Amino acid sequence: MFRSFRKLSAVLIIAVIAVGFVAAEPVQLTMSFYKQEITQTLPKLLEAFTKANPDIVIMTEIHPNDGGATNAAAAAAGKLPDIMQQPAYSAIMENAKNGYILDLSRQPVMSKVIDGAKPSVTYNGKLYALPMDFAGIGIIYSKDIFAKYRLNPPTTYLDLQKVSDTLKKNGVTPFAGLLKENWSIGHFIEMVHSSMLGARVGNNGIFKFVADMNVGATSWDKIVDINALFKIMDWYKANMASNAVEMAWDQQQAAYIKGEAAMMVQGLWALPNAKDNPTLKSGFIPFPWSNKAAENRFFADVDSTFTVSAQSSPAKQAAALKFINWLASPEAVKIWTTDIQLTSTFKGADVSSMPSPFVDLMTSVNKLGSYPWVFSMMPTPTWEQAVKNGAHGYILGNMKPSDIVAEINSSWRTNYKK
Amino acid sequence: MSEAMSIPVRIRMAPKRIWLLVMEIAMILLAVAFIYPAIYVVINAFKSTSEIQMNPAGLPKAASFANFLRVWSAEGSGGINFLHALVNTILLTLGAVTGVILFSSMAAYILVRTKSRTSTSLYFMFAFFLVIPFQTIMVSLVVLATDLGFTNVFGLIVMYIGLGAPTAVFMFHGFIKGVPLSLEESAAIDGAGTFRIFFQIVFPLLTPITATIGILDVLWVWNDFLLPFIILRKGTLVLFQFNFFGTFTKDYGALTASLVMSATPVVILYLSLQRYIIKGIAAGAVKG
Amino acid sequence: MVGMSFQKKATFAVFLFPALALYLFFAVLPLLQGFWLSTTNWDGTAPWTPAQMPIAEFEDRIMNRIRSEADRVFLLKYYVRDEEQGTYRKLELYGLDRYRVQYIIGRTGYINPDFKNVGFGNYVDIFRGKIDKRFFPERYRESRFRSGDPIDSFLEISREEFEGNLLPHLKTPEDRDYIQGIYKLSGSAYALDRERIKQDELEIQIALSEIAGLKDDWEALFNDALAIGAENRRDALAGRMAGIPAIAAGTIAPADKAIMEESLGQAFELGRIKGILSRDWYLERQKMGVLLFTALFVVFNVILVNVLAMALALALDLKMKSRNALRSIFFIPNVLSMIIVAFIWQLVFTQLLPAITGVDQWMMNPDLAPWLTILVAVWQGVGYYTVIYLAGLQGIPQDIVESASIDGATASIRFFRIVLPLIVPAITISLFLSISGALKTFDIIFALYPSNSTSMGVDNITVNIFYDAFRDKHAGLATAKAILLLLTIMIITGTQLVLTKKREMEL
Repeated sequence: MFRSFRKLSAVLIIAVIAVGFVAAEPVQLTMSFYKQEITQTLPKLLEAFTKANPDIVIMTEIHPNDGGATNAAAAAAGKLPDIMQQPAYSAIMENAKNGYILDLSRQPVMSKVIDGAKPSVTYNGKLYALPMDFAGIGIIYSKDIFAKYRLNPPTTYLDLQKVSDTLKKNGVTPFAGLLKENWSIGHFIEMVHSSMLGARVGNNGIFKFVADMNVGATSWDKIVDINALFKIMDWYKANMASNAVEMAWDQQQAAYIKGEAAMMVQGLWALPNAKDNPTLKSGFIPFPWSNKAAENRFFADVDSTFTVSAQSSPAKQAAALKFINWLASPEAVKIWTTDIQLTSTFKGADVSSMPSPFVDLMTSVNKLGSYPWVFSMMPTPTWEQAVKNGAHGYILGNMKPSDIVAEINSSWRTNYKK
Repeated sequence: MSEAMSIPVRIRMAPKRIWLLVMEIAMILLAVAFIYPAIYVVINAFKSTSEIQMNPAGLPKAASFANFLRVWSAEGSGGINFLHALVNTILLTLGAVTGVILFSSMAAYILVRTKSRTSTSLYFMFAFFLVIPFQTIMVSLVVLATDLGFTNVFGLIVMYIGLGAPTAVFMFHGFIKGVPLSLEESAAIDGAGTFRIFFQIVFPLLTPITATIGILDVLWVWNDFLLPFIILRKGTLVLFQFNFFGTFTKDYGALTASLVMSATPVVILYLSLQRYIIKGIAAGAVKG
Repeated sequence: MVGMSFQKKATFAVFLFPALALYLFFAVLPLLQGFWLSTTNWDGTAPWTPAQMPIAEFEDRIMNRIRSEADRVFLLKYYVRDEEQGTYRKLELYGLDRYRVQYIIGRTGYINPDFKNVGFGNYVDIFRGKIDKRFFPERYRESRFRSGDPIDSFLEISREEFEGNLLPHLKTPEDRDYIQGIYKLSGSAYALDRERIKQDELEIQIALSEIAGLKDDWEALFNDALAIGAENRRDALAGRMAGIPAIAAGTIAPADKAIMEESLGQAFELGRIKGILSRDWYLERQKMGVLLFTALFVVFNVILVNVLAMALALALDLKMKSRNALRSIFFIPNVLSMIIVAFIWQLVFTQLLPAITGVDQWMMNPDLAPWLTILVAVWQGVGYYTVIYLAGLQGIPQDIVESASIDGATASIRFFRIVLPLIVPAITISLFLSISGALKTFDIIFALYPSNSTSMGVDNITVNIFYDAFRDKHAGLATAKAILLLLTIMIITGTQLVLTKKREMEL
């Protein structure tokens, strides 16, 4: 018996070593992300995943949100990260068309995504990405300043004009400007344009508009009142500080935090860090471009998604899909909303523990609905050049509306690839 | 003429000396005004961000190194901190410049000493590249680099050698033509092979032009932006600086400190070697 | 090479090989590939061989058309059949294997629509102007007044603006009478007659929105009044008012009706004046476009750099005590990376200058922006060319200059007749380097105006090519532009060299 015991223990030891050897080979995945603001908090999510799946380790790298140029270079080299965080709509569709990402339609996690988020990741009827967060662009306003001058958050355009008038009379700049760079004013013009579209023809009409623009069957100034659109742009610029053109993101933040300006038209990624001004209480409302309160809904849509590279080896692909499916777990959703501070597009996600502007956003969207992010649906070169630089050129005074419209039309038609 | 010569020398020279002094003072003032933007940045690196905004033009009330420490320990975009970027840049520059000098001198030598149509045409082929703008090869280089897996510092070194060879061969070629053949001939008679002749006799004679090329190329590789940008995206000192400005847009203290820190190595290099640099450029220009 | 021993040939090859190989591989090959790319329609992102293809399609269009079994096996190393996805997908593939895969697939007759040859199509497009309008210069009108601007912006108009940019543009005598009636000169500005334009848009809208009977119609009514005012059709206003249901039904209180008429009258006036101002108050300007800006940049850069460097060299050639220190100082900017130089000046323009001068807008002022880029580029470059001119000056024998001054020649004669001709070689090399350098400038502009150089109109040709390739996704077109740039540089510097060499010969 003694001998067989020794043999048994020998076998056991060898078995343990062998298993250890095999188990000690973790699959290493690379993940790229573009949201700079989550650089410090993203590791928490990945650590939690590795704890639940010790044989998979995920390394991260930042790919800037440059219209897909970095991803394209990586794809051409065959070195796409196994998992990629990408903005919704066009970025995904262009990658899907080129065949760089996997079809995720049959993954279990997809059934846990709210239906409203699915169109943003659909290409040719299949789902190519997992929607993760829902973001809105609207007015972040200082509750302190509003309380000081006894102002209510405006729900119509007339109210907004009255609020701005009161603020100006009291020496407060209505809007903190960010006109040095071109993306913020690009967001603004798209916000008003998409809202006008949605109010006229409904969100389904917006999708039809996009389809028509793709083939050159309509024009960017059809359906909406283009003169009213640019009039709102003029009003917006006139209600910023006189040197708004020189202000970049940091100056916008500083003006808002110091109380020099009462509002910013931004997404919640621009919500000032709690440590910059712990007592500043902010609210979040849709930009009320219309005098019919019911038409003023948040310009909100799926912002970031996760995609899986089609170039990974079968082992890495399996590991990546495991991660994707894990993201719907309660633990993952909790880290996503509480630590990373982004809303979630999974069914039943609880956002009550998030800062109040996020709650404002989700409450408003659930009650009134939202307008989709048309700027994400157009070909990326059109957004990057025709819209952003068109809007910026208008603000700087060197482009006129008819030229901007013409450039958007031709760029959209030329750059759309089925 | 004789009358002019009879005027005492001292009186003739006096207005000239005053004029020279005036000129010198004017030039000093001009130099200070010229370099003021850099001085401004250096002074502000010692102030806190809020002090910079309150009092941009004045001296710091209490000079502190806090900004520099912040830059040193900052995790730049992409996880490359200052030290990492500095080391990368040093490796890159040393590797690239050594490679350029070594291979180009060898190539130029053999092209000069071999009198044939082939070598003349090869020389012109090298020289032709002096006018190429980078954009012509930009897109292809990205494709090529990713193809070969050269998207790292080592690959970049190899690329710089290839891109720096034309100018270096051109300059070496001109210089070597002026080296007398006699030394080499006598060494050959003594039985030395081409390798020995080149490395032991000729190469030491090339020191002036080597110094020129070395310094010009060090400055070029150290400060280059576009090629590392499209190949690496991050990792060299210049890219660190570029990404730093993108991430730390409001921290003026850190921004000025980062500029000072990024510029210091190359300024030190320049100040210690300036005699050679200036002589080298002058020699290169005259030869050209 | 005839008659060279094998050993000599071997040595030749060994000495030459490293430099030549690397040069061919990383300079010449990309250049040739650049030529080739410029004849394609590649957008920079599409894969050259299919990344994913449905199983049936892949087998039909590719696998079944491959003759050799070895090729088929090789291909399957990189194309994995994914049943779950229903596709064949390509794994990580690079290096020489990539070219083999491309070759195999090319032989099956597969044509990639996103990466096909268009011959000289890109070049034709460039010459026919069928590319981005911003490339070419254009006249445009900068409006001084926009429809959404507040009343403050036209309560007072300065004399130069009024007489220069408004009056001359008015089209009809009616408009002229109207404007000259409503604006009265007081001091150095024209003031609006507040008796005629009493309220601004907000006040009118508030008044209208508070009228119970108008409910939701007030906004349309207001906008119509503005529009009717812009067209100056007073009769239409009465008709529009009559058409309101509440008016027709008589359900509006008389007091409210009076307010409405007053407000709409004001809206009409406001619409009239706003219409005229937004149409006729403008400044004719010229947008440079990429081509003209590049030309401007190069011309001024080259002239300024060379003239300043020559002047500095003359000054620094004098026997001053602090000569060496001064030379170092002027050279230091050249030692710094262009990125660092651009960021230094960015801080100067955004922090220092506004504080000193009280003027806020430097870099974002479209009139100043081109000149700022030239300023920064000259600041960075002048030290280098000073050294070249200094070297040239040092080559001049001192006795010639001295004997000339003893002969009574003035400084300017000494300079133009003696010094200048003797430093023509330095001028030659300096011009050559500064012209090609100016045409190739990228870093300074990219760092001074990251992401907003296009809308500010300071894109030069190299920045434009960069954005074409990486932002606008036209890699083929971008490379074609780069090839044309190369030809331009060759022509310009070639001409310059020939001209100055001829000068050198003459002297």
